[in-house]
Amino acid sequence: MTADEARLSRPLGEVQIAELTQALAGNGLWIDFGAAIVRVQSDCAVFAAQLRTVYGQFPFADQSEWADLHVRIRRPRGLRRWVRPQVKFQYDSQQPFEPFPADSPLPLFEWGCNWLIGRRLNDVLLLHAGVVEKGGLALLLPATPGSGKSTLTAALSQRGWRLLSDEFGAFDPEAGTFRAVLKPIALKNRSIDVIRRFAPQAVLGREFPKTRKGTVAHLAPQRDAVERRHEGARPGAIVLPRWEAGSPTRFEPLTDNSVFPALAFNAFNYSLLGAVGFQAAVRLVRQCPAWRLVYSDLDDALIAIETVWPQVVERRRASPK
Amino acid sequence: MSHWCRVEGLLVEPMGHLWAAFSPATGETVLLNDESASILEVLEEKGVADTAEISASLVVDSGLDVDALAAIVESAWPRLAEAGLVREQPIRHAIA
Repeated sequence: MTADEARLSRPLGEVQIAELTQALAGNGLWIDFGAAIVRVQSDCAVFAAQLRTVYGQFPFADQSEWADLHVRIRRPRGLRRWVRPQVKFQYDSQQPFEPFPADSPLPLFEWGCNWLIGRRLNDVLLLHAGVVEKGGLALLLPATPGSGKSTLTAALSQRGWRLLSDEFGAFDPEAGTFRAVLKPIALKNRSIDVIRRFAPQAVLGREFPKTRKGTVAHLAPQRDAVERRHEGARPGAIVLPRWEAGSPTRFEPLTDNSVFPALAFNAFNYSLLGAVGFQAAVRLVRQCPAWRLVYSDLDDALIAIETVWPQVVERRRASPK
Repeated sequence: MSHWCRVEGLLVEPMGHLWAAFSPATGETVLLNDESASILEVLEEKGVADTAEISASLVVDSGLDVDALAAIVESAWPRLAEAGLVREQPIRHAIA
């Protein structure tokens, strides 16, 4: 291994803050999510440390030949550099959002990248869903905001399931597999403490209060998930989660006509893909048994999923196509 | 009486106790009940048909009398057309 290869094979978490800051201020940092690569540049002093915590297992790359997304997290010029300072998100010289407080570049970066991925990643059907994998099969968790999708996805990722994405069920219609869009899981409000208690070993970034979604903290993807982020997963099962305070765990099979709208009408680019999107959604419904999971207790919810998973595996073994 | 045909490239798939249909004309997907899906199925066989022909084709399967069926079929056309699933055929094409 050459010195340059050794330098580039380090995980981001082992790179000195000064070196990260320098990369961000220079050519930029390339972060490979799996299905997309972002190049990010920034002049924001606190950004490097925030990135290093939640992307700690991702390889450090300060040069590359390709990126799908080119973004900048910049401090504005003028008064806002000094009075209630802010940071702004830019891509292709455009600024689509209002600036964030200067100490919150990470949530702005995450939000902006998700927004761009939702608009740009059109070679796959991009479902709004969490995806985890076990034994080569994907468990898809489509949901609307506030349903407990991120909390459940985070919990599964801490109990032996490989995280592919918390936000994007990226189904490749040609390959018939889900692709990873691996990013930190944005936990909100009470979910932050829930996951801290559930998985004390989990690596969480700092809390950002008063965002549009309340307080947000990001859960870092684990090393195995990062190392396998180019490895797809075949459709396995679909679980529509809904968190309800104090509810006993309910796990009920769903009919195809209940599942189909939850996929098709809750996707980022379904309309854009036309017939391809329709056929992909139909295929997923045909291939995957589906359940509705109402829960308040994470351990119980995971037991319910683990209990049916052997059936899912057996079904796919019997009908591999 | 109006004659109707399916829009080109229409996709219809059974989806539990409903049907999912994708219209390339509008780019939209709708969920259909059995009656609407049956009409589209007959149109697929016949190419072009009017209410009377559709009703006659469905009378055996449905168990309804032909007048009751005709009322159901007639009331379905505006919704199917609005969803971009069928289009009205000029009469000369229907005769040809």
